[in-house]
Amino acid sequence: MSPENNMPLVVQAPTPAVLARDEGMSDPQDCWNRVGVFGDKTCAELPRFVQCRNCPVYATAGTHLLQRKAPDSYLREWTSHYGEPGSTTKPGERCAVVFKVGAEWLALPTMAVQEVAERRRIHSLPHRSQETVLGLANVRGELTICISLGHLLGMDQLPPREILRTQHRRLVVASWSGNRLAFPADDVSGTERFRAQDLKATPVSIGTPHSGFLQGILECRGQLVGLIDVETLFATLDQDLM
Amino acid sequence: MLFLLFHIGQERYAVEAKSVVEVTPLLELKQVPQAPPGLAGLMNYRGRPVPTIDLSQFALGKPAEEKLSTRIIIVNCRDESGESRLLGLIAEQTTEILRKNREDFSSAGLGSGVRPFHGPVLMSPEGPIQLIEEENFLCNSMRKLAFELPMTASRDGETPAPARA
Repeated sequence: MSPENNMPLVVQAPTPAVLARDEGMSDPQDCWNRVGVFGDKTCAELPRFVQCRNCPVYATAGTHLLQRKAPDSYLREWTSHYGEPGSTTKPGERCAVVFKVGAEWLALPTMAVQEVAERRRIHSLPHRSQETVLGLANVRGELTICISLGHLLGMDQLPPREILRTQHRRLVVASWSGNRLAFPADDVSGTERFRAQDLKATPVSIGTPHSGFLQGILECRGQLVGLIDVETLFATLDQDLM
Repeated sequence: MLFLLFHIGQERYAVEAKSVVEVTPLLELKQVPQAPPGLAGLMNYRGRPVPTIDLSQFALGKPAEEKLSTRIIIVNCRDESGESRLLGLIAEQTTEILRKNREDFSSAGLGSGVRPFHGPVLMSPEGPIQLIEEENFLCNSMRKLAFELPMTASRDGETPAPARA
């Protein structure tokens, strides 16, 4: 049985298994190809570790690959990489994650964003008829309250809540002073740096219910982006949900 | 507490993760003429010159091997005026981190610990790990080596460089 036949079809990063094969590692070291998950799965340790990548033997093999001599171009390439001035935040600069909810672009200070997760099912809660709360989602094993930012900000033409629960593209997980929540977003364009003077005041004349949640308006790549006031957002939700 | 592990020769050492700014791959360094042994040169760290010490050369007298696992640990260090500076440490087999309590490292009683490699030791089943403490080791021996270069060029019988007018 050749190890190639047992390789997974999709390999995203060179795993020790692949590297070991390419490096022509000797047999005793690549037990994952013989008795592990890429082999006949007869390894006595397999029930304990479930997958070879959890096993210290596999980790040690991975570390051993780093014992190779650095290639010629390695030092030069990394030297020029680290020679570039870093893109660290300058004094007075702030940073926010920009995303789209419904038709509007919004931003949340990066400090408050814990992670941007893939879509997952949001389970609705019985006896919760509030528009804002969509339900609970499992984020890394922790049940997290999911809200609809669109409903909270009083946006028009929002999809039905059931569509929001199942059809969103990303789930943004935010946390502030110990409270955690998540909300679906259609698009997350990344982080933007801005200076305090770039933040324009929200026009008072609009008077929409959601203007109170916004700290101001930013212009990013030709789009007007509403920067959410984290304190107000979490304080309001605290009152609403508890 | 989180510790970053590395090797000097065959033995394992640790630094506290909180004193580490970044771990970079091995880089090409600008040589410093007449540098004391151990000072490998200056690295270009995002446009800043950072003195870099080869721990293997410093402790054992032979330079660290050019392997993929040999990396530069950039630490924060105070110079003699108390100003915070960056210092690079070339360390072999910088591939692991360890979560332990500070109390798990116990003093071996090797004096007050102000000398290099007199820090407390963790007797782990895989072999002892010695802690290199920021305030003692980094900020005395290393600081002398890196930041007081012109005055302390005389080591191991080498003649100090004559001061240039």
